[in-house]
Amino acid sequence: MNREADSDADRRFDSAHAEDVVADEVRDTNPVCYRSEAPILRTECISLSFGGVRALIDVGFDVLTGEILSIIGPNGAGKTSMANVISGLYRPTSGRIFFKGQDRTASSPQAVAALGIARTFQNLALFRGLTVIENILVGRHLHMRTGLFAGGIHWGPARREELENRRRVEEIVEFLNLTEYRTRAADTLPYGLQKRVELGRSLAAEPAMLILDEPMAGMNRQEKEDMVRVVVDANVDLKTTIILIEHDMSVVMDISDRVVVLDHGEKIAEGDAETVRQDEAVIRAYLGQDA
Amino acid sequence: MNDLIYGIELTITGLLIGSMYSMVALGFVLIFKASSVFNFAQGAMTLFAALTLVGLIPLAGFWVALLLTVAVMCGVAVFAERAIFRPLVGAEPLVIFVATLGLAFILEGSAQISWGTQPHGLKLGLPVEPLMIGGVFVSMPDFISALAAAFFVVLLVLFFHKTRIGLGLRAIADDHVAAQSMGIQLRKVWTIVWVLAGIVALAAGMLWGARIGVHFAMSLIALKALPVLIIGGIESIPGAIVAGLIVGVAEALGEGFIGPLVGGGVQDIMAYLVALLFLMFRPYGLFGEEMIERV
Amino acid sequence: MALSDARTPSPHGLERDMRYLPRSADRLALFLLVVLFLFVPPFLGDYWLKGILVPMLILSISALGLNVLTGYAGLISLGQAAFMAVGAFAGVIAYGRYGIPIPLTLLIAGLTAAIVGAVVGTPSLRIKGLYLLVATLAAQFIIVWTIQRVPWIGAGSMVTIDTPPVFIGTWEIDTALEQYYFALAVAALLTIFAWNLTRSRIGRAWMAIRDHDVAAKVMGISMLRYKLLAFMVSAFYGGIAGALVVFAWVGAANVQEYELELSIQILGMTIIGGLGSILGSYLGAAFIALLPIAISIGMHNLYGIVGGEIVSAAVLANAEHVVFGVLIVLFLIFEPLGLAHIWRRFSARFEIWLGPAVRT
Repeated sequence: MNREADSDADRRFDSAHAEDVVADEVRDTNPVCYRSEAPILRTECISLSFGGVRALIDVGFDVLTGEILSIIGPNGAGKTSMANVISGLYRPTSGRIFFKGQDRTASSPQAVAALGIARTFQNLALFRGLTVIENILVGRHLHMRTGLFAGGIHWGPARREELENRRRVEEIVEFLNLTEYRTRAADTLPYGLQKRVELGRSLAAEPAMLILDEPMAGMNRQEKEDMVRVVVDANVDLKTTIILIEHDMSVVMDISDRVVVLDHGEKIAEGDAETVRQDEAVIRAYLGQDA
Repeated sequence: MNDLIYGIELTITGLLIGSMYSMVALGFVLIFKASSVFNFAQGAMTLFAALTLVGLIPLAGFWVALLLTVAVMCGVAVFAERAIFRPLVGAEPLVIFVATLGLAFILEGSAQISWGTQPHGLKLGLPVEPLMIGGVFVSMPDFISALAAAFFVVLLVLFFHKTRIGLGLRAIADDHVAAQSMGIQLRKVWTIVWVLAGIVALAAGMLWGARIGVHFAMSLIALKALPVLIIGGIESIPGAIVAGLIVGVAEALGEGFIGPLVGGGVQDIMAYLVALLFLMFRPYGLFGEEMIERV
Repeated sequence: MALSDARTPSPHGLERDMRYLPRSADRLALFLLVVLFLFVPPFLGDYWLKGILVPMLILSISALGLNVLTGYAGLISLGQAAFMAVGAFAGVIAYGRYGIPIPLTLLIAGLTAAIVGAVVGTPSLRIKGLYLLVATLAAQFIIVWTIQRVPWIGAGSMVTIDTPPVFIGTWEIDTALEQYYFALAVAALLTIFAWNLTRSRIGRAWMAIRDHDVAAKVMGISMLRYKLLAFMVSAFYGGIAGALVVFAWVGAANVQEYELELSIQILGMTIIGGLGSILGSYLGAAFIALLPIAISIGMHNLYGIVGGEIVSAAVLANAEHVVFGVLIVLFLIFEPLGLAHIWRRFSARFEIWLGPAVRT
């Protein structure tokens, strides 16, 4: 249904222009679901349907390099669907995704990971049988090269690589205050800690962009504060661009550079926290749900 | 022309045999829908039932033996449900599957300890003169077996769709928790499902026993219900029926036309070949639905 | 003790994390096992060597392979016996027909099986669980069927090919003791390889796929690569085990030894021994290898008590089936992590009993 827009975009991106030039053209052609600053990630008119259910309808926004962008919205608004589309788990029915200027709409999840996008999941998604350290080591997967034979012989370079990456993992473990749980099996930890391990695993990938799907759901105040601090640290110290999907409004308003609001699969508002808070459509969406 | 008639005869034979596959596969589908158990032991249960029956016939006569065997199969069903599957409720499907592997070994071993490993004949006293329909030969025993199998298939489908218990089973298949909250007792239903599986095994054991004798290979034949299931789509009742017929025909045609070229035995692997093709190109079978994985 | 762990480990500490056997009970047990396996067999008769130890080692290798696939990568297979058949025939053809040296022959047997394994594993990219199971079941039947019918393989109606005398260089392996040491050497090498591999990046990728395939994908782990790799490694081990059946045990490749029943038994070994455990593969194989003896002794005593006649081989074989089935069910219900887990609990206790003084 967006055939024409698609072929337009093809022409533009095939010649690999500088991003900002592209962005200007884009703004002229379709003001509704494009944004215009130099983005690390651009989603264009993303739609997604399962069978007859439309989970996302023409959602598009930019994520600017280095920002914390929050996606909020009532339950079932399509937030997690959007995260799944960005991380390559769902192929959008229509629309396109650009990461660092390159079209990666059709990329597989592992290709997306290789581009430098990591994420956490709304429901716990740890590797249950592995220890905390091993879980985070899996996050180092793309930074390691050891293959079948080197791994089986475990000598020389393979051993050095393993040591080097374990050292990096220990840094993350310390950063997240997980040291006393290092060798515990992941599924024996309390919920809040598991969430933290999952964050650690995604940080271990040293991603350019990190998608956090409700990292603070089910946490008490103290745990939330810890988590917020870690997220901000990751953003500031590690220079990671962050997409945050979160229900807790006070957290969102505190740390987001910008906010995108989804409702019933559509984007109903976008802007800085204050603008969004006063947006009528947003108020209606939230009040409508409460009422 | 000769080839054509031969082909038609093979197709008919295939359909007749296929109806028995349909019946066994249907037994699988019912268990799977109601309890998510993928029952590898169905083949062993078939062997167990048939061996028990032929073992008891000389001691008690056919009808008493049949009744006793039904009782034994009910006992096996209750035992399996109580001792093996109830403690494993909530385990992963693959764990439960492996438990059915264990059950298969238990049943095969104990049946052969009790009744010996020699092949036994099973005579049901069916007429043997072939039917002649428009120049095409049809084996009478196969025809009667197919009728019986078709009868069973209809019975199972009616049971599943019309009776209270059947409706309960379907409710469970749709949603375990909801069914429980509606007051459907899972455990009772599971026991019933296993009894049903035992009866299907007995029926299959009788029909096949009359055709090829009662011996170990029988459990391998009943095992073909697994590829049949894949072809039909694991949860689909019409799928199991249609796929059973397809496998029967594919086996008969394969054995008839390809068998002589490769030294026979094509029917042993035909079901698996067809299932592999489906797994490669249409993994969720003829009537199955691809599940969308929610993240 | 929590305090001493709470410091970030020095590089030296990292090496400690990577130790093979952190517990002293494990080290002690391994030492005893090595002594036992190296120095006791010369004092054992042929019955123990050919009847128990050699088949146990061979089955351990095969179970180890299946454990990589099922225990580590979480992909269940009912086709391991077929991979052994591939290895057995590839081996007997390479050595018997083309005179390729034994070490190279073993490699060829393993690699041939690995290629077949990759083909069998292909559907695993689209299907899992019960669907994959039927695919491996199909492979089991189709592979064995094909070996019997391809004229080039030459199994023919006899379904069996004998191997010529087995030489490694000028050393002829013809006594039971030599066959045992040959099998032991191969098993030791393959065990170390698997042990390293499962603790490496590759092993972690497998376990990640097993525990949460979606999360594994978004960490950049390629399903294609690692699932096929697991199938190939698993089949490679099966293939070498099959070749060892020919060269270190029965002296012939016989299709009928590699039926579905063997596949199920190997799966049973990995479950009883412990999924996802190298040690478990050995414990499971040993358990199953010793089981017939225990049953045989038990049955004879039982019949002795009730005053029956001598127990027939068929009854014994079926009794083994029943006990095997019961054991699988019992382990699934009461000890799903298998014998290896029982050992781990014991060695942890042992560690505490030794007290903190010994811990370095």
